[in-house]
Amino acid sequence: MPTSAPPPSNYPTRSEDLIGRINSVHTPYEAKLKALRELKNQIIGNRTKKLAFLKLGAVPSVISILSSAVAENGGGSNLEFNEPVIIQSAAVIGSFACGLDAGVKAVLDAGAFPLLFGLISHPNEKVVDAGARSLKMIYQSKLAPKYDFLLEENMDFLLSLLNSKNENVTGLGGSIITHSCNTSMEQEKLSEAGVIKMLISLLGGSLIQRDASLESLGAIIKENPGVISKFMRPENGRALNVVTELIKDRYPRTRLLACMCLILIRNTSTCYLQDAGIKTKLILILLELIDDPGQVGDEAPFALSSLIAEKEDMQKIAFDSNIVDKLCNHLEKGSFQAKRLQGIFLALADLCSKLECCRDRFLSLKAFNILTDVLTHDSPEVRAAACICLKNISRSVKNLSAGHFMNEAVIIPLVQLLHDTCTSVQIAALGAISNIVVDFTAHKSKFIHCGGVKQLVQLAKSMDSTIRVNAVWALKNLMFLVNSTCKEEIFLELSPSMLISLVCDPETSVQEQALALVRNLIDGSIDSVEYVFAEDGLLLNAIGRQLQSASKVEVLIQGMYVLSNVASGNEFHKEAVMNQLFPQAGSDTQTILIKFLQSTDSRLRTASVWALVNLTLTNSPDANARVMKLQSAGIVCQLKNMVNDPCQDVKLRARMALGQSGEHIRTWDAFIKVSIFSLLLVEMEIVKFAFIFSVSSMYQFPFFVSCPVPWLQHVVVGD
Amino acid sequence: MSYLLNQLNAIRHLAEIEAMATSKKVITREEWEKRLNDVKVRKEDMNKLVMNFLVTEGYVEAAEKFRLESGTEPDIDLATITDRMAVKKAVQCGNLEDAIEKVNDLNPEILDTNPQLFFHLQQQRLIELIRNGKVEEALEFAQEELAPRGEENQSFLEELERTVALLAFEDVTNCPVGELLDISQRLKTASEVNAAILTSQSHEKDPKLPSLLKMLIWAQNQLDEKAAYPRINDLSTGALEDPAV
Amino acid sequence: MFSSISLLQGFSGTQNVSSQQKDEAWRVNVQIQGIDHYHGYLCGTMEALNVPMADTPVVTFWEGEIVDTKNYTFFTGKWGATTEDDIKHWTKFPSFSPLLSQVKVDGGKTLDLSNYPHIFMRWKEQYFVNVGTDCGLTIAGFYYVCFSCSDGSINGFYYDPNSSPFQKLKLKSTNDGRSGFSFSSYELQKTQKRASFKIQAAKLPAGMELPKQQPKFNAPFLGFTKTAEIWNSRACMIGLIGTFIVELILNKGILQIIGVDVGKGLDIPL
Repeated sequence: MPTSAPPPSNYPTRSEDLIGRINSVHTPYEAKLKALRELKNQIIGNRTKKLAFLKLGAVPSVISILSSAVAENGGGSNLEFNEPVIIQSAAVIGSFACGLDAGVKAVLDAGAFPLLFGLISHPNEKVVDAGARSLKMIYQSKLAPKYDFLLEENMDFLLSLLNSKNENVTGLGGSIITHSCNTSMEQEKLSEAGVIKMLISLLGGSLIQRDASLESLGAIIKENPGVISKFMRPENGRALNVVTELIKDRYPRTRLLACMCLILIRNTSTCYLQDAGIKTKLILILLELIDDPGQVGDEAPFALSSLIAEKEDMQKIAFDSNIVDKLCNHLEKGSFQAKRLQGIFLALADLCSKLECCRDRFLSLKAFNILTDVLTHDSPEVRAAACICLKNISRSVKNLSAGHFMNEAVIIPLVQLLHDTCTSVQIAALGAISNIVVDFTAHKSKFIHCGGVKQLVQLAKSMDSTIRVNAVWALKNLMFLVNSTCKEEIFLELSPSMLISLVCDPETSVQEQALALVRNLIDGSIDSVEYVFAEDGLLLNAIGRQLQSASKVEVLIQGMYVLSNVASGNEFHKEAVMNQLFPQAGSDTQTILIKFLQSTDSRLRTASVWALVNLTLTNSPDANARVMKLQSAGIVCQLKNMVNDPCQDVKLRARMALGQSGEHIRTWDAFIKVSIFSLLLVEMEIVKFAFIFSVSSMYQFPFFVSCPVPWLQHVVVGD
Repeated sequence: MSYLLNQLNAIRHLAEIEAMATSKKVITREEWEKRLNDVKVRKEDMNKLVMNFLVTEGYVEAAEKFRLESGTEPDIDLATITDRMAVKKAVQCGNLEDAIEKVNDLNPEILDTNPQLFFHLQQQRLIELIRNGKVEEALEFAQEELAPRGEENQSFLEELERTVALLAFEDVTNCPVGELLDISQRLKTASEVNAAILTSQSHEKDPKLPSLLKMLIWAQNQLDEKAAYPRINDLSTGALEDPAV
Repeated sequence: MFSSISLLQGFSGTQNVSSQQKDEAWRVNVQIQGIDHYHGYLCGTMEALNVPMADTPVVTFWEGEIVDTKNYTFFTGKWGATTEDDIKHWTKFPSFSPLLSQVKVDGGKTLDLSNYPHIFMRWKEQYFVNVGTDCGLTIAGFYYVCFSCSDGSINGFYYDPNSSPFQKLKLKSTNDGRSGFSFSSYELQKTQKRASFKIQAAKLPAGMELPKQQPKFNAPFLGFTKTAEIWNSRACMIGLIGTFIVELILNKGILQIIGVDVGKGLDIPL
């Protein structure tokens, strides 16, 4: 086999030489053309070479050649080489701009834009092709300058592009629209100028024209119900039909783009494309597109995802099309580009976000093992997608209760991901953990033993508030119905001082989660209530302060449930709650409790009434004193107003609390009248107290408790 | 939950066995031919089919002759076929550098936007270098041109690994990756380029005729389950064979 | 509808296993684990404590249908229960009597129960959590259940044509020795809305942006992958000679020549 090879004779000239030849003024025109062509052939398809030549300053050199060739305008001495030089240099510029932002930047910085636009009106069709292609490449980068459709001359120029017979020029028109049409004002302007109609007619053209028009149509109708309704109107005629036909086109990318157009219509205006037939068709076509070995196959799962995300009807149809099995089959085939894996997992995540049948199906397939394997994938996007998928699958109480997730194969890699360098992966992992630790099977200790709590507590100290809120969320769910041993362990890891700082976190969503965490901490065995008195009651005081100052209703709800859980303890606990609700005894300031009971949010009213139910339980010895305090603060009056609350739960709990306070609603009004009347009698020294006592006992009321106003009490009891 | 009162009663399987009366319909040869004759195919459609085949496969001269004789207009500029065929031929001859330059002259977008095709052309180029015993050049080429592509795409890396493995064998024709040196590898690459160019010209990359034949086989297979009829088994002659009863 | 049943309470009480022998009863604990008012769904576990045939308490997972007249009516329509069975069981709950006449007409489809102080449900056990299906118990039947919103008690009747009829379930909310009611809560995380997705018409090569970090090189393209190992072992006799020749000529290892420094990624000089 290999013998000594001769030194390569015509192997590509070293890059520097090539640039030298292009730059040199002494290079004859013919040789320059040759050098340009060589440069073109070296860089096409080759990122590394593009970057290398960029460093050597190739772009400005080529553009200056283009510039002088254009200036000669065929009138120079090198007539026969003029147009080929223009074509080759335009092609080189286009290739630099293709798929490389650094290239686009260099091309724009060197001032190629106006030169290339000049080529569009060149008489030679090949020059026009070359110019249009290069501009198209530039417009595919987000670095390209925004095209201002609002200027009339710009709109005219765009329409002339779309009207051109040259497919590359119409394609350029499409690229410009796709790149620069972002606002609804621009969308409407383009729609008014009749661009939609032109694009629809281009859908009948060549492949380039079809794809470019579909993409531009997408940009014009995206999230704009007004433009969509114009698109659907009969004067645009067969518009929808044409696009719908194209989802069956023979080119995969055309099919994908047509699907995307329909998805955009459906996702913006829910009144269109409701027919089950078209929904199923879209799903089946997208599924089939995932088979494509190229980029279309990578992108199809994302399109599928946007079609089904948050739409239960679509997810049901997709499930009936056996989509879970099909996607999992793809996974089992193995060895994918990261992008495709990410897409497939995100699509599976969307499928499993609502429907139990999808989750069950997925769990019954081997693909679940692939999911846990992928948690350690090289690409952070794939890791995050796998976590999101796991998060949605574990939204099933049924499977959580069966203990399907609380095992080493799942937990260990997930806990590892909490250390991930990529924030989005950490957040996604926290999401999955939050659900998995709900686990009803009493195996929560497994998670603790994997070092999960330690890391969650670390993340609860993160500077990133999203991480913080998700970490506390996970801790809260872990704390849900956990046994006392685990509770103790978690509490020690957390430390009271950290709980206090979480309750007082600047982010209200962290406060909410932290309060819910405390709520779960003190639930269960009555001993758990003691946790809230940690650090000499500082934690309880912090919660009390939040209740006084917070304004977000979710924070208040969790705060009230904490107090309610504390109030379900012993007498000492109940008194502590009273002290939080009525910080300054005897002051006239309205208690927060009144405000909560009058809240428009029934959840806050419910939480507050539950606390009152616990505080007024008749079987507790000091209940009378508490009821008196509540009454003097106007709470009992307020409860009375709530016995017909529109929210049934509030209504029933308010009645329960009132009943416990010894206030039978039926007799309340009557008693006030009697009391006031008796008072008058006393003042007038007509009757003695004995009479009043007998009246009160007649109504089965503890007299002191029922006195409606303090001064009355004073008068009656004082002497 | 509850006690089982009668476990035997709990689950009862009723297996229903259905005697399948397998009676296939038999269609005789005369009847079949009569039916076939009833189907009218327009001559122009037939001509279009032939023209589509010639154009897609790149038989320029035959297409030109056929155009003159049958008056069927090709759906693509015949001049572009010449360019395409030149590229195809260059690949088939193992002259990859030439082929790449020709594709780039035709349309620079093709290779810039199709990494897989570009990689396969470069891979073929490497294979040709190895075939010609240019070891050092092959290695330099693999390092400069192919290694970066492998870095961008995992599947390229695997293919590259297989190709470079050729260097390790003395008797390359008899090594585990020897099929890469086979002429069929060139043809594979050539047809990939051919398809990419056709696609860029908005033309179908496969001729319609083979698809029709595939459809014929599929339809016959479907029909087999329901009837016995004169099948076409030899596609090259298209002869009807008597149904086996 | 929001009711105290959403507070995921624990309940405890008894199930009368046989309608004849009044003394035979299991102690039963029920934990409500999840509720979805929109779909009329709730679920939880049921634990039977003193089952004579089992060594441990038997825990089952059940899923429930809330008779909200939107998702489910009083007619079961499955699980082997006829409308007569339905009526027969529902009428055992005193709180059902005002609804009876309408239910006879249409299963209660036209009733508005959103403010009714009782919640009617059917609980159907799905699987045994801690024992096998050979534990001697059956979960073939289901429970007709009535939850009282005012006192938080649960009453139910087990229905299975193959078991004793009208086994009565009586539950009260548990309080763990507290004087009052205490509630835990959990919240499952949903998917956040992702940025909308766009597909480009032109097929740009993968990797429009420069990679943010040095790509990790897991499989060096020569030498250490599985396939390579296979052919290495089979063909090293012939292969080695070739490799040596290359090394002799170029004075470098094959890996170095190609530019692969295993473990450090590719070093591509230009």
